[in-house]
Amino acid sequence: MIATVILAGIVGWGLVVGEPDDYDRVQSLGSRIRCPVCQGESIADSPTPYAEDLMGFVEEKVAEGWTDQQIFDYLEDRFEATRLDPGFSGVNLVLWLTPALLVISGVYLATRRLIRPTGSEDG
Amino acid sequence: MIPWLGLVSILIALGASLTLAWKGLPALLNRAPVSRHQLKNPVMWLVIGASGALLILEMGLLLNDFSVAYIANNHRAGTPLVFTISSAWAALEGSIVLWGLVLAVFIGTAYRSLYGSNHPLAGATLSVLGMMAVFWFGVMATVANPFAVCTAAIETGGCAVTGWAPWSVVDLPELGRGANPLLQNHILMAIHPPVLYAGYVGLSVPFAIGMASLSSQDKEEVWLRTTRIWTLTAWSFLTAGIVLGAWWSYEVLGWGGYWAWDPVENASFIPWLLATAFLHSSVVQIRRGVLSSWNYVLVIGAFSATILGTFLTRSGVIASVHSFTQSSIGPVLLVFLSVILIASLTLFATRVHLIESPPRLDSLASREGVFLLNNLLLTVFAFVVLSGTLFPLAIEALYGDTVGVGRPFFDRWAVPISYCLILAMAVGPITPYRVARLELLWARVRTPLRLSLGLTALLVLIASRNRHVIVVTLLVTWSAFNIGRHALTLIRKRTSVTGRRPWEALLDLMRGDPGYWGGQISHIGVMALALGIAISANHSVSGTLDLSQGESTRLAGYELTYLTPFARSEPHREIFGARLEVTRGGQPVTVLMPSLNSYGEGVSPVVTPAVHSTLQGDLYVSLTRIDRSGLNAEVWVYPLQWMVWAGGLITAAGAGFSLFSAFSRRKPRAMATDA
Repeated sequence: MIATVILAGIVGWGLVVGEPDDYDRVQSLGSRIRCPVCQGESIADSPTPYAEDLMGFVEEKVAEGWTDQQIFDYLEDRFEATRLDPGFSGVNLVLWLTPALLVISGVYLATRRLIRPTGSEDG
Repeated sequence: MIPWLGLVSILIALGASLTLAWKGLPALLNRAPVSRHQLKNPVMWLVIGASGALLILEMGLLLNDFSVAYIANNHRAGTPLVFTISSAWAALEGSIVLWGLVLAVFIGTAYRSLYGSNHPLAGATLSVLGMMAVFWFGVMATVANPFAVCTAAIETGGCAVTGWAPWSVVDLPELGRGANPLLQNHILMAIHPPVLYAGYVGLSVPFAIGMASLSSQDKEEVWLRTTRIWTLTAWSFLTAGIVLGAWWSYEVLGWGGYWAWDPVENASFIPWLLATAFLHSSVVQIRRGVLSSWNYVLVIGAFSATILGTFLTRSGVIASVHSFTQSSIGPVLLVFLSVILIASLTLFATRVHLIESPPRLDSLASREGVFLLNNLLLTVFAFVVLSGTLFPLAIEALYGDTVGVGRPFFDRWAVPISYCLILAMAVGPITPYRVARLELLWARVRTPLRLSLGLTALLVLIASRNRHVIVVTLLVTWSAFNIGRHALTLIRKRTSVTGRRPWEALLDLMRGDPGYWGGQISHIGVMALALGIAISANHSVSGTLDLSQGESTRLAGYELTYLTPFARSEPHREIFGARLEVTRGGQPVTVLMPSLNSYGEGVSPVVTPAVHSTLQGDLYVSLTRIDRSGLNAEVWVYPLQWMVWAGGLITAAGAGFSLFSAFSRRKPRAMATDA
């Protein structure tokens, strides 16, 4: 039992101190911007010099304290580097939230329609 | 000659499909049974016509008959044999010929197997399949005639104007244009499309059986087990087809990846997810008699998704909504999809009161409960992929705006859904039916969980601190140990009773319940796939090379030296590339030869990456520029990349095991009992 707790502790520690998947704001922003000269890659993923230049740009603007939206708008206007994910606002909310609705209705249907009410003895 | 022969073949197949649909109709309408004998000739002529069409197209390609517009536009004299043959499915019209042949083969197989087992739905199923064949051969005979002749040639090669009728006045092109270079660059191009089509088209059979069952008011639910076998067959091909496609993309396109959530990939993934959901939910119906209406929905959904995918990839609608009118087959496919959806859902709605089952499950903490979780996750996954693919089209149509839905959106959903799916996979196969007492479940999973915690702790201490890798390793090893423990317990029981050797007991065990154990083989494949994806994606290293001849650079422990450039002439292409010597710690590893392949003037060269694969991982080099002054290249190092391909193929093979052992025992019903 103690061994299990220790092992779980090590794994948990690995998860906490582990390198996060988005290193920082620059990486996270970069992975959401399409590299205009590559095939469907983000500027964070693409090793092309152009993408590296754009990443440098993002880094600079982050350091200057720009907001995410300002950076997205700026890169789109100047370099036609569009976003790879739709923003979490306006009509895009439909896209982001309908899967969640589907989960809720699925859970509701499963519990209401498939589970036999307690006490009944069918099948 | 070829245009005449080809069109006649297509018309034979069309006539045979019409006859098949018509003669099977009394069974579909539940008026009179249709005997094997009545459908023999139409099925036979359908197979003859469909095979004839592909053979004649191949003959035309081999004879360089440029009077056929398709051949003039997609083939060039001197193309190597394998790519000449694969040119038959390298473009729209030809790919429908292959599609038609695969459908005809499935119809022939369904005819033999359904009538061979005296299946009550045989006639009605074949009638529905006949209707589908009418559509596809109808398309070939009209808007997408693969044997249309060239009536205005282009001087530089190919054909500008085509005439449908074989008697049109031919303007014979002197040269062929050749297929899209990307499609002549790798041997996988000859294998991947037929396998994928077998998966797509194979899903027509479950749909047809489902429709036959709804229409003939199949109260005994005889459709379900048969449908499960056919879905398993199609699913196996679909899985292999998707993996081969990803592999092709990795080996040929040179962008360093294998999956981009591109609409074409999504189009193949949606039916896969829904068919996977059906393979699991059908077990719940077989075991517990619930979800009967849901299973019809999944079968209808999976098939409709294949047609939607065909529409998205063939109509040109993906590039932009405005290119919709440029392709004549797009609207036809959209009408077909609407007819399928309206007809099947109407039929379903009028019959659903007959098939609905009362609530019968005792608890969600049971095997059934995990199956329900699995179905919820797979359906939501399919919905996310579908909505992400269609959303940009909807926004452009409604508002005229462009919105990008790419990897960040899909990954944000796909990663957590996949984690939950692997978790369900870890506990589901060892959870009892009806009600699972927690103490029993804990007793079963305790030791495997300790072992996987131990392994993962070791991973954290010596190898990886990446969160995704840690989570996936923990879940995957836990799943594997759970299955392993379950198998060991059963093997011990057998060896103590029968005195057989452990491996013999294992084989007996697996053959005794091929549905369950085939499923577990597939699960092991999915585990390898998940681990391969997590590790190769999160521990990859990439960099750029900028070298002149003789220069070296270091990357991820490798030393890469630009030795010499090389040029080679092949009948269908010119190859320019570089020899890169790779060493590691002073020891020579390999010489990589990435290249830029040129398929004639006016076509931009195709990047052909060089990949050095070992058990440790791949070294992947893709040239971006090569000239007198030197070269530029992109380099990636992907650890354990082979696990992605191996995992995918093992997943497909699991279904093959179930089917093969079930049929070799000639007791096809036994396989459907569990999964």
